Amino acid sequence: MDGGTQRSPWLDIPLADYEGHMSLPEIGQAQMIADFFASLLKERSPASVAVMGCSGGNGFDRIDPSVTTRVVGVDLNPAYVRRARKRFSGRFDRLELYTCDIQAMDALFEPVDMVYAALVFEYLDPPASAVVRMAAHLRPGGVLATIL
Amino acid sequence: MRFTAPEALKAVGSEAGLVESSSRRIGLRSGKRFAAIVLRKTAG
Repeated sequence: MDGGTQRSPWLDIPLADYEGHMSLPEIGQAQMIADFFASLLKERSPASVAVMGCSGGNGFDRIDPSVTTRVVGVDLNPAYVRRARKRFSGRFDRLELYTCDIQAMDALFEPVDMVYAALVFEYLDPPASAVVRMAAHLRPGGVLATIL
Repeated sequence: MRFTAPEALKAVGSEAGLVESSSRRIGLRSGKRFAAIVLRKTAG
Protein backbone atom coordinates (compact mmCIF):
# COMPACT_ATOMS: atom_id res chain seq x y z
CA MET A 1 0.00 0.00 0.00
CA ASP A 2 1.32 3.45 -0.80
CA GLY A 3 0.31 6.98 -0.01
CA GLY A 4 -2.96 5.94 1.56
CA THR A 5 -4.17 4.24 -1.63
CA GLN A 6 -6.40 1.32 -0.79
CA ARG A 7 -5.19 -2.04 -2.10
CA SER A 8 -7.65 -3.57 -4.53
CA PRO A 9 -9.26 -6.78 -3.27
CA TRP A 10 -8.87 -8.16 -6.79
CA LEU A 11 -5.16 -8.58 -6.18
CA ASP A 12 -5.88 -11.15 -3.49
CA ILE A 13 -8.48 -13.30 -5.23
CA PRO A 14 -6.96 -16.40 -6.87
CA LEU A 15 -8.06 -16.82 -10.46
CA ALA A 16 -9.38 -20.32 -9.78
CA ASP A 17 -11.65 -18.93 -7.05
CA TYR A 18 -12.93 -16.15 -9.28
CA GLU A 19 -13.51 -18.39 -12.28
CA GLY A 20 -15.05 -21.11 -10.16
CA HIS A 21 -17.51 -18.70 -8.59
CA MET A 22 -18.49 -16.98 -11.84
CA SER A 23 -19.03 -20.33 -13.55
CA LEU A 24 -21.33 -21.80 -10.93
CA PRO A 25 -24.66 -22.71 -12.56
CA GLU A 26 -26.53 -20.63 -10.00
CA ILE A 27 -24.31 -17.64 -10.77
CA GLY A 28 -23.87 -18.04 -14.53
CA GLN A 29 -22.07 -14.76 -15.03
CA ALA A 30 -18.98 -16.12 -16.79
CA GLN A 31 -21.27 -17.68 -19.38
CA MET A 32 -23.24 -14.45 -19.73
CA ILE A 33 -20.09 -12.41 -20.27
CA ALA A 34 -18.77 -14.84 -22.87
CA ASP A 35 -22.12 -15.21 -24.65
CA PHE A 36 -22.71 -11.47 -25.03
CA PHE A 37 -19.13 -11.06 -26.21
CA ALA A 38 -19.66 -13.80 -28.80
CA SER A 39 -22.84 -12.14 -30.07
CA LEU A 40 -21.06 -8.81 -30.43
CA LEU A 41 -18.19 -10.39 -32.32
CA LYS A 42 -20.62 -12.07 -34.69
CA GLU A 43 -22.64 -8.88 -35.26
CA ARG A 44 -19.74 -6.49 -35.68
CA SER A 45 -16.73 -8.52 -36.89
CA PRO A 46 -14.16 -6.18 -35.30
CA ALA A 47 -10.59 -6.47 -36.53
CA SER A 48 -9.41 -5.46 -33.07
CA VAL A 49 -10.90 -5.77 -29.62
CA ALA A 50 -9.83 -4.85 -26.10
CA VAL A 51 -11.25 -6.57 -23.04
CA MET A 52 -11.26 -4.61 -19.81
CA GLY A 53 -10.86 -6.75 -16.70
CA CYS A 54 -9.95 -9.70 -18.89
CA SER A 55 -9.16 -12.01 -15.94
CA GLY A 56 -7.78 -15.26 -17.35
CA GLY A 57 -9.19 -14.54 -20.79
CA ASN A 58 -12.87 -15.29 -20.30
CA GLY A 59 -14.45 -15.16 -23.76
CA PHE A 60 -11.17 -15.12 -25.68
CA ASP A 61 -12.00 -18.61 -26.92
CA ARG A 62 -15.05 -17.12 -28.65
CA ILE A 63 -12.91 -14.83 -30.82
CA ASP A 64 -12.42 -15.98 -34.41
CA PRO A 65 -8.73 -15.26 -35.08
CA SER A 66 -9.34 -15.08 -38.82
CA VAL A 67 -11.67 -12.11 -38.24
CA THR A 68 -10.36 -10.44 -35.10
CA THR A 69 -6.62 -10.46 -35.53
CA ARG A 70 -5.67 -8.12 -32.71
CA VAL A 71 -6.73 -8.84 -29.13
CA VAL A 72 -5.92 -6.65 -26.15
CA GLY A 73 -6.55 -7.63 -22.54
CA VAL A 74 -6.19 -5.44 -19.47
CA ASP A 75 -6.42 -6.56 -15.87
CA LEU A 76 -5.22 -5.30 -12.55
CA ASN A 77 -4.08 -8.70 -11.34
CA PRO A 78 -0.74 -9.81 -12.83
CA ALA A 79 -1.46 -13.47 -12.11
CA TYR A 80 -4.64 -13.26 -14.18
CA VAL A 81 -2.74 -11.68 -17.06
CA ARG A 82 -0.04 -14.35 -16.90
CA ARG A 83 -2.68 -17.06 -17.10
CA ALA A 84 -4.41 -15.39 -20.03
CA ARG A 85 -1.08 -15.17 -21.84
CA LYS A 86 -0.37 -18.84 -21.19
CA ARG A 87 -3.80 -19.87 -22.43
CA PHE A 88 -3.98 -17.75 -25.59
CA SER A 89 -0.43 -17.01 -26.69
CA GLY A 90 -0.09 -17.80 -30.40
CA ARG A 91 -3.82 -17.90 -31.04
CA PHE A 92 -4.06 -14.41 -32.57
CA ASP A 93 -1.84 -12.40 -34.89
CA ARG A 94 -1.43 -9.85 -32.11
CA LEU A 95 -2.14 -10.54 -28.46
CA GLU A 96 -1.40 -7.62 -26.18
CA LEU A 97 -1.89 -8.18 -22.47
CA TYR A 98 -1.36 -5.49 -19.88
CA THR A 99 -1.34 -5.45 -16.11
CA CYS A 100 -2.87 -2.07 -15.46
CA ASP A 101 -5.49 -0.25 -13.44
CA ILE A 102 -8.19 0.65 -15.97
CA GLN A 103 -8.57 4.03 -14.29
CA ALA A 104 -4.92 4.77 -14.97
CA MET A 105 -4.89 3.81 -18.66
CA ASP A 106 -3.28 6.55 -20.69
CA ALA A 107 -2.58 5.63 -24.32
CA LEU A 108 -1.88 2.13 -23.06
CA PHE A 109 -2.53 0.60 -26.48
CA GLU A 110 -3.38 1.73 -29.99
CA PRO A 111 -7.08 2.37 -30.53
CA VAL A 112 -9.29 -0.62 -31.25
CA ASP A 113 -12.64 -1.26 -32.95
CA MET A 114 -14.31 -2.55 -29.82
CA VAL A 115 -13.75 -2.19 -26.10
CA TYR A 116 -15.58 -4.77 -24.03
CA ALA A 117 -16.16 -3.98 -20.37
CA ALA A 118 -18.52 -6.46 -18.75
CA LEU A 119 -19.33 -6.21 -15.05
CA VAL A 120 -16.45 -3.82 -14.64
CA PHE A 121 -17.91 -0.43 -13.83
CA GLU A 122 -19.40 -1.49 -10.53
CA TYR A 123 -15.85 -1.91 -9.24
CA LEU A 124 -14.49 1.39 -10.53
CA ASP A 125 -14.69 4.49 -8.43
CA PRO A 126 -15.21 6.93 -10.00
CA PRO A 127 -16.46 5.08 -13.09
CA ALA A 128 -16.87 8.22 -15.19
CA SER A 129 -13.13 8.66 -15.66
CA ALA A 130 -12.86 5.04 -16.78
CA VAL A 131 -15.47 5.64 -19.49
CA VAL A 132 -13.42 8.56 -20.77
CA ARG A 133 -10.25 6.46 -20.76
CA MET A 134 -11.92 3.59 -22.57
CA ALA A 135 -13.37 5.98 -25.15
CA ALA A 136 -9.88 7.36 -25.75
CA HIS A 137 -8.75 3.84 -26.71
CA LEU A 138 -11.48 3.50 -29.36
CA ARG A 139 -11.19 4.33 -33.02
CA PRO A 140 -13.82 6.73 -34.39
CA GLY A 141 -16.85 4.55 -35.13
CA GLY A 142 -15.68 1.95 -32.65
CA VAL A 143 -17.91 0.71 -29.86
CA LEU A 144 -17.76 0.41 -26.11
CA ALA A 145 -19.83 -2.63 -25.16
CA THR A 146 -20.77 -3.07 -21.53
CA ILE A 147 -22.74 -5.17 -19.15
CA LEU A 148 -23.96 -3.39 -16.04
CA MET B 1 -19.73 8.06 -7.54
CA ARG B 2 -20.42 4.49 -8.52
CA PHE B 3 -23.00 3.62 -11.09
CA THR B 4 -24.69 0.56 -12.39
CA ALA B 5 -27.61 2.40 -13.98
CA PRO B 6 -27.70 2.42 -17.78
CA GLU B 7 -28.81 6.04 -17.91
CA ALA B 8 -25.80 7.11 -15.87
CA LEU B 9 -23.45 5.28 -18.22
CA LYS B 10 -25.11 6.83 -21.27
CA ALA B 11 -24.86 10.30 -19.77
CA VAL B 12 -21.18 9.91 -19.01
CA GLY B 13 -20.59 8.30 -22.39
CA SER B 14 -22.24 11.21 -24.12
CA GLU B 15 -19.73 13.56 -22.54
CA ALA B 16 -16.95 11.31 -23.83
CA GLY B 17 -18.26 11.36 -27.41
CA LEU B 18 -20.17 8.08 -27.22
CA VAL B 19 -23.73 7.64 -28.47
CA GLU B 20 -26.06 4.75 -27.77
CA SER B 21 -26.02 2.05 -30.41
CA SER B 22 -28.07 -0.64 -28.69
CA SER B 23 -29.38 -1.64 -25.30
CA ARG B 24 -31.03 -4.75 -23.95
CA ARG B 25 -31.70 -6.61 -20.74
CA ILE B 26 -30.19 -9.96 -19.80
CA GLY B 27 -31.82 -12.08 -17.12
CA LEU B 28 -30.15 -15.01 -15.42
CA ARG B 29 -31.63 -18.07 -13.76
CA SER B 30 -30.55 -16.63 -10.43
CA GLY B 31 -33.08 -13.86 -10.94
CA LYS B 32 -30.38 -11.23 -11.38
CA ARG B 33 -30.90 -8.85 -14.25
CA PHE B 34 -28.28 -6.95 -16.17
CA ALA B 35 -28.17 -4.27 -18.85
CA ALA B 36 -26.12 -4.86 -21.98
CA ILE B 37 -25.33 -1.52 -23.59
CA VAL B 38 -23.32 -0.66 -26.67
CA LEU B 39 -22.10 2.90 -27.19
CA ARG B 40 -20.53 4.05 -30.45
CA LYS B 41 -17.75 6.59 -30.67
CA THR B 42 -18.68 9.38 -32.99
CA ALA B 43 -16.18 10.40 -35.63
CA GLY B 44 -13.83 13.21 -34.78
